[in-house]
Amino acid sequence: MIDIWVCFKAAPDFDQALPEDWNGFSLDTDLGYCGTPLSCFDEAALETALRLKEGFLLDNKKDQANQANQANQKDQANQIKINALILAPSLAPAIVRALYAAGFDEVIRLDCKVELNPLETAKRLSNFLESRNAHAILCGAQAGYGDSGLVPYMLANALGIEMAANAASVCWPEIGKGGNERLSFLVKADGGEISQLDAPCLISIKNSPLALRQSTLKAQLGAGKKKALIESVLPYEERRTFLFCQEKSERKAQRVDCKGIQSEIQAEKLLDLVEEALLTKDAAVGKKAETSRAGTAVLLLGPDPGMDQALARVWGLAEGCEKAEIWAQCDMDEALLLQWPEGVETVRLVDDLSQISLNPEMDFLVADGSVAATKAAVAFAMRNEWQIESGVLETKSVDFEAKSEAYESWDLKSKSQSSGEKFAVSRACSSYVKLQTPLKPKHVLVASPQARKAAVAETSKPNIVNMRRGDKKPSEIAINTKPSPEVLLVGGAGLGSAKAFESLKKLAELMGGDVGLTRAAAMAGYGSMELVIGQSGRSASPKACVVFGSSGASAFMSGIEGAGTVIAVNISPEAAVFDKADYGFEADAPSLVQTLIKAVSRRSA
Amino acid sequence: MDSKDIAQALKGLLGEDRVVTDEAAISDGSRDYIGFRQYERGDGKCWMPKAACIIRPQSVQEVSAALAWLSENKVDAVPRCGGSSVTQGVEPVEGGVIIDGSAMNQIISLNENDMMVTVQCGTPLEQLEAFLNKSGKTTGHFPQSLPMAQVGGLLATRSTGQFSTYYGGIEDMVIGLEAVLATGEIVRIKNVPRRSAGPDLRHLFIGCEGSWGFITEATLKIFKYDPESRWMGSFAIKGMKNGLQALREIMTEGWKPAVARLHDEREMERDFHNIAPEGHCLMLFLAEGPKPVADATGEGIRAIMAKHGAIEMGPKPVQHWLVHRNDVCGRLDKFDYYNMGAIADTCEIAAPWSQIGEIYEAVLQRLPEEIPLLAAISGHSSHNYVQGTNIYFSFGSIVMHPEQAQPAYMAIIKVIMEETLKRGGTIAHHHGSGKYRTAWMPEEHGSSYILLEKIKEAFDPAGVMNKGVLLKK
Repeated sequence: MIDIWVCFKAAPDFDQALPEDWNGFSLDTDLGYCGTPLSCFDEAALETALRLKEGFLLDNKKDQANQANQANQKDQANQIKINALILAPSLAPAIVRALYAAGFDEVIRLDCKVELNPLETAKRLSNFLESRNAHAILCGAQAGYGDSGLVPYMLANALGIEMAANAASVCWPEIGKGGNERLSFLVKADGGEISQLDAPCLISIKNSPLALRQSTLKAQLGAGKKKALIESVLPYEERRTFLFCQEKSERKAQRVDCKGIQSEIQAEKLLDLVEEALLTKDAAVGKKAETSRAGTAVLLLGPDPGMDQALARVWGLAEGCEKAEIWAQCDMDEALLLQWPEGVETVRLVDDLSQISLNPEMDFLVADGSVAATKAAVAFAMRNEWQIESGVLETKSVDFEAKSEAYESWDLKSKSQSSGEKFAVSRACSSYVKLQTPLKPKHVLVASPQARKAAVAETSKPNIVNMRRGDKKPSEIAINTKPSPEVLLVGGAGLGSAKAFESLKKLAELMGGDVGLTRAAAMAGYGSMELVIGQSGRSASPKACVVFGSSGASAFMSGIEGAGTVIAVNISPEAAVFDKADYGFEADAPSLVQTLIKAVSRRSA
Repeated sequence: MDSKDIAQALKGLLGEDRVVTDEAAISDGSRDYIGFRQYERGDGKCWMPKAACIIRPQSVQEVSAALAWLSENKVDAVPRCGGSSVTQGVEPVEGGVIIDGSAMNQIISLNENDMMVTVQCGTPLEQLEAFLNKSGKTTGHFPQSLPMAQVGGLLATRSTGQFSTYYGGIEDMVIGLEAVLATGEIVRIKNVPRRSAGPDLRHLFIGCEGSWGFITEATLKIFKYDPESRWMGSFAIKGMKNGLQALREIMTEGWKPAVARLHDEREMERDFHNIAPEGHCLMLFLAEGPKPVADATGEGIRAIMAKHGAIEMGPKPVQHWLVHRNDVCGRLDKFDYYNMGAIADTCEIAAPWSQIGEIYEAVLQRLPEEIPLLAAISGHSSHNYVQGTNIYFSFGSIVMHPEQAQPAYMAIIKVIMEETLKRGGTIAHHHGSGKYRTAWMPEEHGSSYILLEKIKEAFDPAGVMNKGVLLKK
């Protein structure tokens, strides 16, 4: 019998917490009003299991239809079992009903008050599962935004089984499903890479479009009689302290005075702001960051999504260490292009971070949150009994200072000295980190990406050691998503014409950036609907986004929520976009576009 | 006339930049959010009728010229503004023209002395609210479509907002308006607080759903905006009918909360993720006005709820609902239900107190019996009157193929319509009738249906405007 388990959660979604509750947040804050929904990741994992069961039964039916000897047919339904497992003090009957109605064979609740301790959670799950001979364990990657995302890694490690992370879909391969053949699963990762995992294995589902299927009311009524099985587990041993910060976009446009200012000067000011956005900034402006960080830091950089972003993510925690060495999963070409910060002595290039052997004599290990780096960090931490922390950090200028203060107060060296514990940290960021100290790259706004690369190559390089065995290109390694453009120019209805949008496209090309439209502008026929940014189009997270002639409707602004710096240009001083941008130019958008074209050309010349 | 000729003629009349012929833009501009269309789009299908072009007038004169031409040449026209329709109300007629008023988006004047604001039809409500809030004012109109809706469409559909129990529906908020008849005449109804100079002509246009006129401008009441004075409270109560009784008592005793919502057990489980005890309905209240008034309203509500055995749950569920109540707008184009293999939508009806509970129970009983693939049915009350309330049904049905989506959808609607009409309720509370409810309009209006027909004949003799909406023929 094939046994598939899905570990899921029903926990308050911290992102739903009211702002006032975030201000004084603690683990005792009552978030009952948020309810306990299933996360989208868990829904995808649950639905994946249902589809694996369906796929298995369907294929078996076909096989049995082809079999000459009908006498050897077994009862199909007994050949595969899917089970839903939750660690929780309670579980809403509606969820139990929905799971049974959808087709789960068993729903089991491990009765325990859950603390925010991924290692303890993983231990309890592994204690239960190790005797179950699961062929596959599916997990949602995390609860919600801000969740550690470490439990799947730790669970796989504890059970000693292979793991695939960032899975978008899972299915059966053509062979290896039953009988004497080895059972395996085909996993397609977020970036499209396909791998095959043999059972037993753990698959962590992340950006999947699947949602838990709806069942008919009739099925739900029928399932209503079935209850979840309950098993007791030991309570968590300790409650840990956590740093919680919620990032909210509180942009409030600093108006750039354009009255009586020539258009050429406005254009220069705007370009300066774009350049500033492209450079990494000193987050602790006017304040020297004092740290008493550990002596030796080791940083792990995975291959996705872009190495420079990965580096920016980890350096914020590691800077100030006496020594730093980096292990990076990339090839020499990419390593030579990166802007390595001062203080990094050695960079080791490897094929697979999860296969490296790290010296536990270091003081501080940081992984960038990529799959490969996180696996390596989790394995190291569990093997050497280090505590491992994880967190999601975004960077909006208002809150970063507050958060960096929080991290500053999280003095790791003195913690490790007093408690004898050592810490590994895995950080995932969804946006660009503003570093404590700037990297000081020679970076200018130039016409072509090639010229920009040449400028970057002038910075000093650490000792780069190529430990790669093969000639694996980064493209063969899972790359999650197409990186966001660094510069995005968006045209709104205020551009006035399709011709003005053509000019905007030219400007974007000169700046080496991307171009988009608001829906209103696309509906007005200024450009293709495919270029629409916003709820009905695509999202983008550029370092710098300049919005020309848009009123700032929330349906559009949600598409650039992740932008580092938003600069709005609108002729109306009352335009709502100014309340949602970082900088505002009260200027005529189409005219300013023309002036900018000349200004950029001048700068490039 | 074929589509090319129509577009060409309109370009000649209005100018090249007022006419959009791009196919993708037309397809997007024809988008309606009724549940089965969302399913179809999720499956990559585009089964809406195809318009010849979209025109985007920027003045009332341009609207007038366009409508006069369309009428004269018997070319079908469908008015549109924010496009948040969920009733097929903005779907074009094959080969017809979409008149998009969203380019007419200026706030014309704010008169704080007379407490009114005048706006063009394409003014986004979200922006109008933000503008008014800066000077401590509000429209008081908060439909769930607020992030998308524009003023013209709000009037045309006779919309209502989440705070309607205190502020009223849009019909209570309009002071005056300007519209263009199907034949091109421009009419203005002036801004006075009240008058007795014939029937209220505003009501010829408020709710007309673009069937005989295009609203180009409106003057709306504004109110003091004082969120700091709000009182909020939530309760768990056993039994939907018990909850309706409590609501009735609150209203008939003379309390006027801005928000008074009763969500049945199923919605409490599904939409509020079990925040109330199992088997309970959830009630949310919010009172506005001067602080003593808001506080007294809150105390009055608490006393009545206690009488009905409700459990107090404090203000946070209401605060949370306030923050997230319009999140659905951000999900409309994400095909969530398609991904679950289902169609889903809502349908709002209203009735007097004596009948509303019966309608609710009849629908909940009949639907599972008649629709084998029904996945969900639930309801809530959210707009209250001294005489009755609405029920906003939410429903879902498993659908395997896009061809099944519309029939499955309409089979559910049929049950809701029939059970409502049987008991003297109204088949549409605030979304507008659109095209999907037209079949039941004669029964909805009874002998007064002829009034709609006569108005249509008078104002749109060529019959070009929004075919299939309000009137069967």
